[in-house]
Amino acid sequence: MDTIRFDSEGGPLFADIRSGFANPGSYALTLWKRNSNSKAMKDIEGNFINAEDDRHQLAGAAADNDGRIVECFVTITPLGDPKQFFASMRIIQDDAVLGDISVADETTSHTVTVDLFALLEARAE
Amino acid sequence: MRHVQNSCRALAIALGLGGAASSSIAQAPTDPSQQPGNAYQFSLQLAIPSSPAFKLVDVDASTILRPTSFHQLTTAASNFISENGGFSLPKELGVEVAPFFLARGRTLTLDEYRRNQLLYRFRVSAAVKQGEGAGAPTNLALGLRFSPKDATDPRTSPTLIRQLTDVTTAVNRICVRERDAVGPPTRFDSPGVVSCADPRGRERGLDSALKSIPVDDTNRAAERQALLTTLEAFRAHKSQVEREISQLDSQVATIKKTWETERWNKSGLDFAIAASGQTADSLGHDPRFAALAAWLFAAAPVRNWGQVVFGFNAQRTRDSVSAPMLWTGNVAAAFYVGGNRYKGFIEAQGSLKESAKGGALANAGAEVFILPGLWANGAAGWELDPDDKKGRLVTRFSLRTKFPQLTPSAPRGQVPLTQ
Repeated sequence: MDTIRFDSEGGPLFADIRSGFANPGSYALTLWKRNSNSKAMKDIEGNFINAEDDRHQLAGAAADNDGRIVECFVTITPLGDPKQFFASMRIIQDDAVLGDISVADETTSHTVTVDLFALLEARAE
Repeated sequence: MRHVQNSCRALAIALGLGGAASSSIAQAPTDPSQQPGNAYQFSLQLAIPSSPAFKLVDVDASTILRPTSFHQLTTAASNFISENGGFSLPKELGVEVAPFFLARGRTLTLDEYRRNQLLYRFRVSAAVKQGEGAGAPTNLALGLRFSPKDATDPRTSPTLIRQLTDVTTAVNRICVRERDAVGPPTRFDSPGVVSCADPRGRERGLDSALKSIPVDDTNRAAERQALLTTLEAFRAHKSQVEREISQLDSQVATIKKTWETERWNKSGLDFAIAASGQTADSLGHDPRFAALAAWLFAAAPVRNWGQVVFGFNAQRTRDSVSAPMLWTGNVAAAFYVGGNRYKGFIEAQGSLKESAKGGALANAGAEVFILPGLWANGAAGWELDPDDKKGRLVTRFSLRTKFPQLTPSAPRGQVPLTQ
């Protein structure tokens, strides 16, 4: 699992979900509590019909996210031929991209689901 | 220009690759589109259009440039008959690409595409026509095509996008449900494509645990039996979830098939320009500007079974290396009847040359889907030559392909930041 480090004194964290190749699709964003099977916020569902509403704030202040896992299932129906897809989850703080978890490939299926996740860790002072 | 022959061969190889990819599909015993799990199942199989550059070097007397759905990368080949009447490698080859879509496609969102449709549907084409025999002239052409209106473009249909999004939302909910039964990813997991029936790879984990216990280890027989029972129960559950997902996948196939069937003949508008050069021989000696052409063609539906295409073409061309350049204007119309994959057409065209000579063409033919990504187009008709005022029989056959693969598999996981 990749680790994305953030400034615990900085602004809130955001997850920005994208689908490339102008493909439609949907996603579900989950924030897991530190070392736990329970969630730090209610799952957020979204889709790629509009790109403006695909940036979501992670619950609490930045420092609250230390040790949490942010996860996003992205399901895409590739429209092109070949059926290329690209799914990305960027973690953003104070308008700076801290990390970009992404998968790009081609598929043979009608739909493809990608699991994107990362461990959030506060930077050491 | 010395590389004209090599370019021609390279294009032939490119076309051959498309054919090779398609040939494995040809082994399918029934309609390939009905075979589950095949690569083309979700690709929209709308007809591949001729490109402006190909039109300019083509011996085809028809100037009709039919507006059809946008593709990222296509090829075309024509003129398969050699001097002695036998079948040969095509002497006319063309490639058309959508450069902005290819360059930006990876991170291009639906919103960005819809806001800049003209840019992303813009295509550049190149074509070469090799002369017959040694010392024969060779034509090279470059074309640009703009499609301000394309009602067959799936990315600009709110209805289609909404239908597909509803299905992906349902698939995603299954994924979340199955994942919630297990918990968050572990530090050993990596991002990537998952099966929603088993998003955490639980079956693999249970299987590995089971295999780690020797069958003859009597001390751990109870543990082994418990694992076996859990694995069997999980497999039964997984196959039930897979059936659930399979039903949703079938919905996507139906939505796509309906789109293809209903939208193949919808309206479109294409504007294109192309220029060509001619060399004195096949080795590229003595290159000269040969032609400049522009097209403006529109397409309109006739219910769900027909399409009318009409437009105007202007060309400034020379008939031979030494001849002066002359203007020709063409007004043409075509009527297509059938469905997306198989259609017949009739064409009529009137021409007026700068030298005040008039010509005419009447054509009939068919456009046929052969394999996913491979289409054939054939026509025969009668042409009144504007120069000698004599009528003659004209025929045309061309193959058009989409490239089956564009991008190599990309690495999964975290993309290094450039900042």
